[in-house]
Amino acid sequence: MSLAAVALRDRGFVAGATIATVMVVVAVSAPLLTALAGQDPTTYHDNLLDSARGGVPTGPYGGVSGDHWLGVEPGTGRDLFARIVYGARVSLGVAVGATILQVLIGLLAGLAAGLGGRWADAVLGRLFYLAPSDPAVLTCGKGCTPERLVEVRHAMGVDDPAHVQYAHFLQGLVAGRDYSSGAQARHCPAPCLGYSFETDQSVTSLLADRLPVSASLAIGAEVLSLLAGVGAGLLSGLRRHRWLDRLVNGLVLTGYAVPVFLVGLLLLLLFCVVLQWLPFPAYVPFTTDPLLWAQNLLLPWVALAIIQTAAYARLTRAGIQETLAEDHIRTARAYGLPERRIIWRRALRGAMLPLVTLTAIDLASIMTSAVLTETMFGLPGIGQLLVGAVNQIDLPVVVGVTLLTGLLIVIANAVADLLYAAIDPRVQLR
Amino acid sequence: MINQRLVTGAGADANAVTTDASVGPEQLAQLQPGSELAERVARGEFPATYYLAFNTRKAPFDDQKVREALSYAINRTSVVNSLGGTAVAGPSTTFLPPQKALGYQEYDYFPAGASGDAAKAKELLAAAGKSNLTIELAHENDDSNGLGPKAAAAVQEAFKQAGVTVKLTAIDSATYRDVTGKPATQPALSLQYWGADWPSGGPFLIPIFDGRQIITAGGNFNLAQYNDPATNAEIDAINALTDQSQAQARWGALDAKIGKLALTIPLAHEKDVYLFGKNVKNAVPDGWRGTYDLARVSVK
Repeated sequence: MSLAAVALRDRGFVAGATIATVMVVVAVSAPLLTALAGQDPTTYHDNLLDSARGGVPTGPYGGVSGDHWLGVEPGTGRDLFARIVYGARVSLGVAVGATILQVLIGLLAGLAAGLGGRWADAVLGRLFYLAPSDPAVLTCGKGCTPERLVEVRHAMGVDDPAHVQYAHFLQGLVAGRDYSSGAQARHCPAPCLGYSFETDQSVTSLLADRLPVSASLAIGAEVLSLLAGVGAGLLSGLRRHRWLDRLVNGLVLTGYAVPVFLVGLLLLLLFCVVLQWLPFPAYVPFTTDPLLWAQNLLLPWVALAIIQTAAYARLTRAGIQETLAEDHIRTARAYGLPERRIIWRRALRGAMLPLVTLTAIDLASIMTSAVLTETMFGLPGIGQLLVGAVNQIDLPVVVGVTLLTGLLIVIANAVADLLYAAIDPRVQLR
Repeated sequence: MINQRLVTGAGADANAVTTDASVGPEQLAQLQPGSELAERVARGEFPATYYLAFNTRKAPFDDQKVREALSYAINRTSVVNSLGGTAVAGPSTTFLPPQKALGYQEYDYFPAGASGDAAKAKELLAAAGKSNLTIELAHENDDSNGLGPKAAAAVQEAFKQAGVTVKLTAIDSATYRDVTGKPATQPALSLQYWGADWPSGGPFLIPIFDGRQIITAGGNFNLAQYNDPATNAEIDAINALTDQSQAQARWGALDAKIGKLALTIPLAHEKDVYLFGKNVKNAVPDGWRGTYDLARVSVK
């Protein structure tokens, strides 16, 4: 069978290729499509807006009409169909550009990594600090005189050659380092990640402040996801009823397909606004009040779990079915072991290996990059810290979060490997 | 989210006020007279003007005819909608916002109507020999301050009707003031916002129109680079007045006089609509800041 024939048999490929083709066709023929619709993306239609109500479109469904197929944009009255069609051009350009860049950077990073760990470290570390903005200028702020800039550069250590800066950075990580700012020097104890350019707080303490929030979010979300995912996977994997399998699969996949911000908003609307069963979330440390801690985090946990459950359920389902088909299960059944015991002790165990890996990765990634969830529910976690730092070009914080991310992923994977040995008798630690 | 919480008013939120989050469309829809929410809204007006600032030292804005033509072309309805509609902004034809305390005097020298007079603008441009003009407009890169892409596109669209092509230049909002406030880097045309520091016309007009306040090192607000000895003298004369009501009238008259030169195109003035919690008392915006004196607000 040719490659094309194989690809065409894959439903996922066909669906993806169709969407991509539609995008390209829409983007390329944008002027034609908007001409057909009799609209353009820039004309303001003030007459279609209800100005007293904040400039929302008049009429049902955001001003949908024969002229404006998808309605008009709030605040401007620009035709939404035309804007989306032209927006496809921008998205396509970004996608193509980003992919090319990604390949290029990946190639470079891969090359560096291939040359040895030391190289990879040096290249990645320097990529950050060699970014096109001068941190000293940013720190010095408005009305900075050249003399003052020299002082700031020196105090920050950015006047040293890059390899010296990098050596200092490493030294700070393991042994701490001293920063001299004019007359007085201050000691930054290990693990020192430097000081934020924006607030001058130590990056280590910034991370330490926010890690509990992110960890609370991640652990609770994982517990819920695992419970729901393994439960759903068991229900459908045992194939007792075909309709149950279908139903569970459908529900779980629906949850997976909805973006987290929508789930979050709907949860907030339902439980905090309409039913008022829960307060609007605000982080309460576990040590202050465990009950309030859980109450406030419940909604974000559920929001993340709804999205994550699908992956767990599918892995469990596949694992169970695979294990149940194996010889040792048949043997166990032949010996007359109770089915309950076969499922819990044997089948589930076999299904757990991939779950452990996924849980480890998910834990680390929620801890460091659940930006949308944190923003939506007002949780001051690591993700928010990172986005803020990126917007303000606060390099030490960006580097700190990146390093922490790497560390967490390494730890999570190491723990996963240890758990492998505990679960699977074939794996032995030497 | 803040407004949603105030609307819901669950738990401690019933005791809350905001000084930051003006209402959005979701809440405005619920503010119909007679509704519970209509009782919990404070409306104030902080004296402030959104405007287009010309640098009159740079072509083509050194030509008063061009500035006048663009003043005729502006579509204030679009601008107000882009700022969030008539609940939070109103059209302005004067540089001074409509507060008596600042000496507001009405004028509209280049009547653009609600949506711009493109024909009149074209006629003036043709008379000035500047048909098919292409200009650049600087604006902030996000809409949160009302000087972003939405407002800029509203201006662009209005000028297009008059045959003027506008190229938009987005500047990072964090450095917008720095770039536009330094004559060396100042764009020839930019979107600006100017709010009152004090309930008087003087502090509102002086940084913008006093020729002795052109600061070349940065932090300049006289973006027109306008330096007229008569205006400067009038400013000194009003500042010497001790009678507040006399001074008010003269600040208003001065604004009306400078307005004839079309150094700026006033676009809109600010209105403030704040929600407050169910248990909050005395949430009445004070006379001129558009928001509460927090020391006077209390909880039932």
